[in-house]
Amino acid sequence: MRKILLTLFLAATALLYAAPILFMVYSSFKPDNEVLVGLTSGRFFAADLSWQNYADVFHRVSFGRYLFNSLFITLSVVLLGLVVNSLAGYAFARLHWFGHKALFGLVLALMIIPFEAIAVPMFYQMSYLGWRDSYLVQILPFVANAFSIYLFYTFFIGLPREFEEAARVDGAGTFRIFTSLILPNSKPAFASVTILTFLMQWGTFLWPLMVTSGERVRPLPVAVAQFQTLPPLQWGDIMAFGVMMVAPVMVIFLLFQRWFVAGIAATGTKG
Amino acid sequence: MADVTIKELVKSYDKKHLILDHINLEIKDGELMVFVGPSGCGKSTLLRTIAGLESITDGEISISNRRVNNLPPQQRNIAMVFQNYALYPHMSVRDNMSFPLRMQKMPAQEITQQVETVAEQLDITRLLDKKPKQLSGGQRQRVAMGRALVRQPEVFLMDEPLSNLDAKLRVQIRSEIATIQRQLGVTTVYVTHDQVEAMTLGQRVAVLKDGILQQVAPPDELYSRPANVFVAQFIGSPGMNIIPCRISGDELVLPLEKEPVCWPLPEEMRAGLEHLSRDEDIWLGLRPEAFRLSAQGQESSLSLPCQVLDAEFLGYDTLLRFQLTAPFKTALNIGEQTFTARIFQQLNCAVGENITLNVDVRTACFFDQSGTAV
Repeated sequence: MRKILLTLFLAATALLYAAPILFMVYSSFKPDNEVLVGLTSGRFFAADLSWQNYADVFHRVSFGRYLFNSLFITLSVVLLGLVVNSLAGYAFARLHWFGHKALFGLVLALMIIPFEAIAVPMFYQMSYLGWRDSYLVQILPFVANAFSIYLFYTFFIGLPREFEEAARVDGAGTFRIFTSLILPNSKPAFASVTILTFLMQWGTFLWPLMVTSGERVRPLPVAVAQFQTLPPLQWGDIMAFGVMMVAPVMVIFLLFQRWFVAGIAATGTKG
Repeated sequence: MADVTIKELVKSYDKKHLILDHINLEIKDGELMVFVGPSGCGKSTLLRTIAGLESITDGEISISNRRVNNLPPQQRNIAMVFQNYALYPHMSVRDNMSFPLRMQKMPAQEITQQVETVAEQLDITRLLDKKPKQLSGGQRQRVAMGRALVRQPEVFLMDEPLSNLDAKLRVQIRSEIATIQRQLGVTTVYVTHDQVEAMTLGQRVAVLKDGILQQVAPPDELYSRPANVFVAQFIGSPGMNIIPCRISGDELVLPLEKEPVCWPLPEEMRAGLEHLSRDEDIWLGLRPEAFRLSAQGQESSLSLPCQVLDAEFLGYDTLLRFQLTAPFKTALNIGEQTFTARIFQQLNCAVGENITLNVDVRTACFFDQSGTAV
């Protein structure tokens, strides 16, 4: 009996969380004027479902362009970030140079500074460099990431030191050890950082809003916000836009899920 | 082939507390040298300084008369076997073994040939395509040895390589290591905390304590003539029994208050003890096998009254744990100190029973107040 109650409770909670997503996906197939009808009106599940809204999105805005921009920016940040942050994490975990602890402390301290606090000074800096309205301005400042460095650091510090010592005796240098030994044995850490960076970068809104001024380099989150204000207001289209924006994230998560869970367990990261 | 020379080696992390304290040691070409000592004594650190995995604070290390102080491990021409084997988990056994050769940029064909030769030697050919996690502890151990052997190093370093194996396998692999080492004649340094392993494997054994080298000697010498009380008690299972005594002229005296027990020393022992001043307090060291049950005792031996604490029957022999009883116990001021005798005869005494043990003083060792052998 207790088990049944618990299951019911969990199911209800899950539904509560999933409801907005389910609503979005279902509504994206409905005619625009049917989207906002009440659940109790009797017409909620009665609508004619079609792909029309999706076609409309492509018709009204250059969705393909935005999608490309988002993918290009996000994947660049993820890939460059994996290289830079894993090397930094490894350096902090294993190499000992004068002041490495102090420097690591500084890097960790960066995690507590909210991006919004430095957005304006950074905007001036980027304007000064003449990088506004470019891919570069959306990629470069986000490659090195204190949290990713910390994740890699915690993972590498847990790897048995003997591997590296054995390899050193066998004649491998530090970079060789990193590429031949550390990389193949750190898939969970790389998966966690990939997925966390992807999620963070995919949804980023404030910065691209500040530094982009046209559709040429503008990513999806800014585009969807603009799309909402583009007359006529068509909720079905907005829902379809939303679904197409969420889908890549879902795919990434499903692809990396196994390693992601392992990585979270291995690095002791929560939430 | 190479010899290893260590001169005045000092290792310290904070320049105050010495991890290794002025170590001087010469390991001969082709020798199997064992470092033994309790945990934290610095034996692994010493091995790692030879490997180049730890820097040294002062002193000198040479391999084949070449000073290697500042050379990285890969340029020292050594190979090392680690306690947990340190096999690369994502590589097959073959790849693990060929890794050091690939680092040397050896042609692929030669690598294959060399790996297969060593695999055959170690009887692991059928494991070549497996991953380390598919192997048992003993097999992993052999692969780790293989990875070290393929390089044909000048010096072979082993850091407690058997400590993760069960007792039976340990004995088997121990003898295999000894055989391989003899066949190849490679200078080998082997670290263990297990004195039985050290005694059975080492051609010479170096005993360390608190970063200080206590004694370097062949196993039999270490056992019969320990340099100090620490070595005497550390080597041997169980260790040497230490009893306070005094040498007075030609006699060994147990200084009891009313009536000291005197016992004339055999001729051959007197010579070594002449330099002691009269009535100097020293320590008498007795191996467990120096005790006999009084029934079978010899007239000439020293008798000690004692109480049996427990007896462990080991098959061939019995370990008898005992305390001395009055008047010895109080007069010698040894409190509740217990001693162990190894008795080779059938034992007919119960726990708590008072018996008399005879001591064969001919194998005894003597140590001065500082614990150094006299």
